[in-house]
Amino acid sequence: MTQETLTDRHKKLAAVRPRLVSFARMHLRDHAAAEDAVQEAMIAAIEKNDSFSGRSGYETWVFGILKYKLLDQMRQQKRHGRWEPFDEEHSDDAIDRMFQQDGHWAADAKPQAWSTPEQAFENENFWKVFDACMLSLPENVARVFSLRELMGLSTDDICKEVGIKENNAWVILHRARLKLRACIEKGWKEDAA
Amino acid sequence: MMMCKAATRLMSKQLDAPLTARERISLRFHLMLCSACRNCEKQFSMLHRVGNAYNGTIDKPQDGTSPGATTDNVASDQDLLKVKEAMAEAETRRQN
Repeated sequence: MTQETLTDRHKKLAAVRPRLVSFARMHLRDHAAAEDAVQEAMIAAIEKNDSFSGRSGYETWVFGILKYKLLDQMRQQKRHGRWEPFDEEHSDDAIDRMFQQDGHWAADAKPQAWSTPEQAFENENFWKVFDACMLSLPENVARVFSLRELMGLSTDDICKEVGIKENNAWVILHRARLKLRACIEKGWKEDAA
Repeated sequence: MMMCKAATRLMSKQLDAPLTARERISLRFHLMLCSACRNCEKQFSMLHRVGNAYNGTIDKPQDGTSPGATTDNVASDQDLLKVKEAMAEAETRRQN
């Protein structure tokens, strides 16, 4: 590897760093811990630089390292007892309010059509709102959602990681999605107003 | 006939596991009749793609306003500094 491409890769790493931090922060819900995890991931990326095969994009590769670090950190917390046991919520008022008794949407909770949902990912405001909505979720719900949708684990693997039953994982994900959807819709409306 | 709340449960579940044939049919049937749930389903599947939007596997311009990116995608001084720190740390670890 020539010095030139190495430098390019480091520039690339610096450019992707804000996204790594925001990803880690969303998962850990703690800015300092997120910075630390990203720093560890970047050190590993630099150490393993030569093993980058180029089959996946460089960013995807670095994100893979970060995900691995985040999972590893979670397992260590579990081993060292710094892990809050998963309390299974039985009913959820916020969800109950979204629906009428008979299971129809409540009048003020009906999902509206979002304009251009596909371009939302390129909209900075979307990420601001999404970030705030993730933080508004209860910690356990956010953790399961993040493991599933940010880290890309199967529900089966999530159950092994956090020690819940698959049925319970589905209930939690259902609630997370309903809450996030409602929160994002509200956030966007306020944004537009 | 299935109501919206039960329909949203299936919309969510189908993103995590295959539905049974019966579940699939009742969900499709409900969605044909209910525009609010059609909106909901689109939004759930959009949330499902949020992770891809992060790690660059989604088709997107590489210069843009993807999550947390700075507008011009030129690394800030702080980011470059952090990479230099990581390089120094990697070097230290290599020598030990």
